[in-house]
Amino acid sequence: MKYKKIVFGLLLVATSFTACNKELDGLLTNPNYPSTSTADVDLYLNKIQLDFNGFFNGASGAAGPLARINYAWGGPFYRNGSSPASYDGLWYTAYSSIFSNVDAMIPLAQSQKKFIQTGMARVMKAYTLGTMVDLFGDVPYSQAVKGIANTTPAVDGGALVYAEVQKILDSAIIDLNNTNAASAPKVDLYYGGSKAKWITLAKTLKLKFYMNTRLVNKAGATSAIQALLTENDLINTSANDFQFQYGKSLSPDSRHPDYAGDYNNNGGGGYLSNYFMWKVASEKYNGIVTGVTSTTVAATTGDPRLRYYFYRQNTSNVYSWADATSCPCILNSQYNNATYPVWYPSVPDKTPFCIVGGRGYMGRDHGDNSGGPPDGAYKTQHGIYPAGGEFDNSQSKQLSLGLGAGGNGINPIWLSSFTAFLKAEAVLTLGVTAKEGDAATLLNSGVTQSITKVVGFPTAIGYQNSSIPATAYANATQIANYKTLVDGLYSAAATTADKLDVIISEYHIALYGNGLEAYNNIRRTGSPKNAQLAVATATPGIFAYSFYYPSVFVDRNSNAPAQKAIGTAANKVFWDNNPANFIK
Amino acid sequence: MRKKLLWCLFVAFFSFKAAIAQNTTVTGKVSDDKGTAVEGALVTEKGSTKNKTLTDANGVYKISVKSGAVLQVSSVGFAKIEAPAKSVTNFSLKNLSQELGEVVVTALGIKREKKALGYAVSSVSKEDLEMRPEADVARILNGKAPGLNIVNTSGLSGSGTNINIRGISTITGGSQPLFIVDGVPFDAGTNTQSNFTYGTQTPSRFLDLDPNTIENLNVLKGLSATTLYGEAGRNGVILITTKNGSTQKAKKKTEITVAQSYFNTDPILPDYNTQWGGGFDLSVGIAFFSNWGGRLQGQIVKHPYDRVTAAQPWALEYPEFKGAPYEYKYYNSVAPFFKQGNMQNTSINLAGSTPNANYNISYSYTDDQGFVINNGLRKNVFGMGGSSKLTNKVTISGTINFALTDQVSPPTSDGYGNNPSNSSVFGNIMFTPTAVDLMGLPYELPSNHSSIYYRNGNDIQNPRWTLYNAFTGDKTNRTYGQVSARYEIAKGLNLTYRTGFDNYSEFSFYNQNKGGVFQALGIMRTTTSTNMIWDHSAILNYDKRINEDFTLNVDAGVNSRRRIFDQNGMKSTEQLVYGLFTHGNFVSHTTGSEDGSELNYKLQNLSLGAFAQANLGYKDYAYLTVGGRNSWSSTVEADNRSIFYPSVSLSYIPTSMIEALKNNKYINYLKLRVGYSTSANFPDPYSTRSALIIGTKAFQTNGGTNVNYNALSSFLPNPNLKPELLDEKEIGMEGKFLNNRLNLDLTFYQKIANNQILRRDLDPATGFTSTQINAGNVENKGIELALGYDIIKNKDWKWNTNFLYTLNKSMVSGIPADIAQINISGYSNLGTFAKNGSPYGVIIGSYFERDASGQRKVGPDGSYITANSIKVIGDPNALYRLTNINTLSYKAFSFRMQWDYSVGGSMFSGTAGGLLGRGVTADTQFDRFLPLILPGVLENGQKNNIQISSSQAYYGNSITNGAPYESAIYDATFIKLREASLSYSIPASMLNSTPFGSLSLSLSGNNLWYLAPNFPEHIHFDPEASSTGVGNGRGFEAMSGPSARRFGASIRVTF
Repeated sequence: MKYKKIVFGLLLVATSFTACNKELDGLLTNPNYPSTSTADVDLYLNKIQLDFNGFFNGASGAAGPLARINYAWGGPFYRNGSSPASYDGLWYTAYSSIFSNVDAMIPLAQSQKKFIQTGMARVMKAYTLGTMVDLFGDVPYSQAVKGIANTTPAVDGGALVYAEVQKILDSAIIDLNNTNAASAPKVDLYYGGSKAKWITLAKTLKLKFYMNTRLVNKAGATSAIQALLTENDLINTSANDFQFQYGKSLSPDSRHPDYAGDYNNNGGGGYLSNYFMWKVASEKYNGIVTGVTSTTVAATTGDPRLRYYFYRQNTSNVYSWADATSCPCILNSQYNNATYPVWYPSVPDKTPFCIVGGRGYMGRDHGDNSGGPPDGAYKTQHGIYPAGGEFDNSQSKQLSLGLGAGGNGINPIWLSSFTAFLKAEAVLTLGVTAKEGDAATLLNSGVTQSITKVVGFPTAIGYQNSSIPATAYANATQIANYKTLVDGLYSAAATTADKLDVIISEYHIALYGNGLEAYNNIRRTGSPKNAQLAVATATPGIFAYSFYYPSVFVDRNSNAPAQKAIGTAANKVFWDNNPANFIK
Repeated sequence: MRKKLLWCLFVAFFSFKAAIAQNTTVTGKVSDDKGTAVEGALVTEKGSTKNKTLTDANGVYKISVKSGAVLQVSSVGFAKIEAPAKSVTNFSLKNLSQELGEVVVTALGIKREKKALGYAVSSVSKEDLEMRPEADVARILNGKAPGLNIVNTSGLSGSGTNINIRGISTITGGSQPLFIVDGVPFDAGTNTQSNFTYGTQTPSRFLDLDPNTIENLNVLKGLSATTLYGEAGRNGVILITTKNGSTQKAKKKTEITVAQSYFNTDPILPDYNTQWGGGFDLSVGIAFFSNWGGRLQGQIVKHPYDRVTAAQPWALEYPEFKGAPYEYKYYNSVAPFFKQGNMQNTSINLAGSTPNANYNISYSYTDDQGFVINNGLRKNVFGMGGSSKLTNKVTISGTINFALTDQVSPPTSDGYGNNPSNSSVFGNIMFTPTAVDLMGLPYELPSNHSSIYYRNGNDIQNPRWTLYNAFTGDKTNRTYGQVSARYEIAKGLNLTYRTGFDNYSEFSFYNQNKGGVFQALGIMRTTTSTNMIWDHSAILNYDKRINEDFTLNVDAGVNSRRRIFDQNGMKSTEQLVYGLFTHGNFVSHTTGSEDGSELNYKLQNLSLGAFAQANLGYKDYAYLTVGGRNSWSSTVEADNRSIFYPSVSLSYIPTSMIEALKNNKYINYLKLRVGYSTSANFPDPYSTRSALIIGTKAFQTNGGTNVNYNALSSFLPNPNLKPELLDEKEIGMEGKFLNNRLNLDLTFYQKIANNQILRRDLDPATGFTSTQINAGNVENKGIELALGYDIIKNKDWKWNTNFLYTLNKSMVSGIPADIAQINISGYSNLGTFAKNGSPYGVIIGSYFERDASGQRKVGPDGSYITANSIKVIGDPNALYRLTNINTLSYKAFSFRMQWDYSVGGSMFSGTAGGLLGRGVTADTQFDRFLPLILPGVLENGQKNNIQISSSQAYYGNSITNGAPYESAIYDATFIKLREASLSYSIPASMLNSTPFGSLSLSLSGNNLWYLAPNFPEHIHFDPEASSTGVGNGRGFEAMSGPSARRFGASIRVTF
């Protein structure tokens, strides 16, 4: 009996083990996610579209401070103004999100004849890839996104990758022209599913990338650009603007990040760049801020975009907090009577120092990393354009959550004004011809389109504020005056270089919200020439002509090149052959 | 029919035997000196090797011997005795030395004599666990056993605790030991709901145990001890027997024990700067973060709440502050923010027995209120257990426990002198500028309860507002227990089946009202997780004395363990009506946590094992144990599912073998042991197969369309992932010397985990960001020493001193060459890392640029230059740790003191770096008018001669201003009086006329005093802190708050 029991027991154990083996198999698949076989092309494309905007945000935010379109908070020294880890996010988004999902999605989309989707995906991939070269120089491409097949992808030369970018754009155009295509995606956050607009964008991006190569391949760039200008299927009107339109929702937070950062109840966000504010507010007016005096009727002078770009929480000329230390620079460097550092230029152009001409334009100078005094209620913050914030009607009111348009701003990835400025540069430097006319005409067109875009922005995003009378917004006289002013500057410029500086400076102002093109421009042209110097030191090191390689690249990949010596060497990308001290 | 025939044969055989030798039959009972029956004692006729028998369960034997024979009786743990055989001969055996007879509970609840074990086991007695000022069993264990490393995550009541045994031998896996309670696995996990930067205090689930209900606790440190538990035991096992699970019989028919404790908890705070106030560069700037302002002289300054110019609406609500004077002077703000916490514990235990059964019922209640408002822990633990021997050779026993644990705490996030990452009770309080009258100013706006504070931008969440408006908590209802049945198949052959379950539901929340600086619109995140472990094992035990020299003990069995974890949760934002926390009172809802992780998920894994272990004893002085286990797990593909891991150990007792050593006055007992053992580790579930990531409502367009997506996972699955094998060598000795006055237990070990299951971070350029591979080795080797000496031992006085020494050295190797380092915890550019050729867990972060001679380089602005990369800036591992426990008793008085001394190891301290950088403590109370020159060299190689202000020197070169993290690395050496207690037991003679069986009183305290000499003196920093929660991170602290000192009294009576 006892032995029977033992045998029975052992049998029971044996059978339960067989059953358990089946049980073990059943626990291998993750119950929390669907299987990859359920993947949907349009849902892939949604992820790519969102990540693409995220990539643009990261790239623009990292490049802007170097171009002085944003304030460089990391300090005066280029070598530690940023760290390798600060670029990890860009690397993640580009490779392990955009490229991997584009590559996963394309074969599936092709099998379903979803060529509009593949075309869109290719355009976004091309933009991302080209931008990676613009920011980092040589980057992995031919060996990248191979998964387990290559865990240590090596870099390809920037020129080679740039050539691939053009090829990807060409194949995108072919896909988008495919008449056999299945229906457009349900969600197109950029162009509402318009094939034609995506084609126009692809061609405009070809122009943008060819333009960058004009220094190292003038002949090739000239012929390619001439062909594009001749066809002229480019983003020439604001209807074709390539922009990401944010929403107002807090959950999910779909607001413009600059809005989300500034429009809160606790002292706002970061500082704006004094240099950029100065450039818009007072450079053309002998250092005097004009156009902000009245609260009911707009001025006739001053940059018409001023009140759209910047919102002053305090319009006072005097920063009268408990003690003046809340704005310590006030004590020694009021505009016009500043005690500039010895290395500073002799201020013929009234480069800002500390604050911009009073009237509440308070940001920070390039590379000023001193501690934050209690000035949360005084900092000038992002206005209605492009962040979707508040129109500055001299309210002199501290920001709070929800103020202004509510954050439904845009990322101006490529606007029609940018095309005009780029054409002006091409006509001026490469001798190509544009249908619109000469460089001066194109400059005027760029300024016009920029101002039209900005002034029309409140209406475009449905901003309403009954306490601001219609007369407070920029008027035709002011716009006309401004254009006349710019035209005058251009015709007064003696040399091609000076003329180019006028074009790129206006381009710079139009770029507000896009640090990426500003960084490309300053490296390619050296303009704006009066870019502000570091305040704290005369020797900030060599300009960061490209970014550190991200730490996730150099630390995880044995085939990664040695880390760059930012600040002590000119780490130029392949298309930049300007001298080492080209930019300070 | 057949049975009867067999029976007849037996009877015939024995009758025949009796007939040929004219022998007499002797019966008797063998008992120990307390009169308890001794089962299995060997009774031999002297001079004969064949005529022998064993006593039965009642100690009774029956043997037939020649007349006039002498009987010898021997049994393990007792001295051999002999007596002339009479018809009834009873024996009373004498215990050998205590050590020899000591029985310990080993793996699977198997009781073994300690001398037969070839590995180290540390036992912690209930006396060391009861009536302590701590509700967390792990924290009480600190310093009680060599080889154990306990790290707290916070001084708040109910916060999580890290336990590591013999170092951390995994690079990216779990390192916490297995808890076994009453023979079955007990989940001791810490279920964090978001990244540590989001500030939820998550308790470790061993908090559900009440230390007062523990009968005994053993720490199984080496793999030799834990092999039978399988891969779950690879980090060591904390083996707990509760009073309910104990099969020890009560002394009386019923015995009731009631214990009551009361303790106070005080925070240990920095000494603040009373001479200099808020501002920068000597300005009288009341609104600054920094305390680098002017001399505090009672100057009248603008009131910080006078907000007319700031256009803030609260200027209207507090008109009294408009134009009001405000004195620029020292306000004692930080100390009154804290309060005295208190803890009380009541525990009642009822034990009883009948001849064939015993039972135990316990209840305990703990109320532990911490040193800040709204931090507390309430815990009710009910339990009962018992066992009964049935007539049909079956013994059944079982336990069941209910634990209701309710913990609340304000959130604590990371920070270092700036605003913390998120709402944090400590993030903004510790560096409050000394001229800010925190307690004298309102903290909220009357109209809408939003936070207000002294900064004009109102960018600091008032710490008092945080206290009253931000809550985290965790309510757990837990049931755990086991049922087992033992069936005696034949003499010496038993089959035991045991099933255990551990089931809890944990309800966690993070609530914050609208109106704060963080989560300004309010947040409510709730999760309910259920965790179930269901464990079955069947064990066959065979116990046999083969002959006079050899004993054999075999345990073989099978085990299955299933864990099912299921979590459901929701996060809501945008509170509608202030003060109410229901999801319905919030506008937006999502299933993602603040850090983006999904709140709803489930995990299930199943582990099966078959194991056997044989212990062969030779003449009571040599024992060989050979064992092994084969495991199968559901977390790897079928081809890699099975792994076998053996173990072998040897124990040798020279004092029982060599005649010269027997009854030796100087060497009373000596045991040498050596072992080699292995164990395995399986990956977490779902690492081998790919999945599609989905996201819903990831974005809402301006037109209100919700955008959903699917995407490839950035985790690259590895279908070839294999389990890893760990091995360990252990050698040691135990001894008692000098008339049993000197005790020694010494162990050397070397534990190697090769080809680990490693989370490999991939260059995103591969298209993926991480995978799991089999690579990387961690070697831990160390020394564990326990040395005790009875300095005085006489009738009235006893003084015993005990030293526990722990040394562990780790080394990481074999990480693929293309991985520079692996991030274990913290941030990607500051935290603990694994790096080839370095000890495990080195701190890597940004550092100062130095010249060839190691001097810091100073830039043209007079401040240090930060290098643009990261490197090893510290090693958090202590060189060694030493504990000294002194017990002094005089008659009924007993005094006990535990000193801990930890030498070496470094720490990133956000508290020290932040407070120094902000200039708030007395450490920076010097003449600030004098300029400073930082020691270092200029870039041209000359000695630095640039004068800078004290603000620049301290703030400008501190982590608060982005100076390299190296600037906040400190040596973490400390000495600490961890425990002291004085107790008095009323002598039994005085209680004779009372209903009390015993009565004792004690005064005790813990963390009474400490000194960390390498930290800034006035910060009073306690290096036993960690901000990265429960995990493998060490030496990383970012405003984790003050440590707590507890002291109080307890009383215990038995009836």
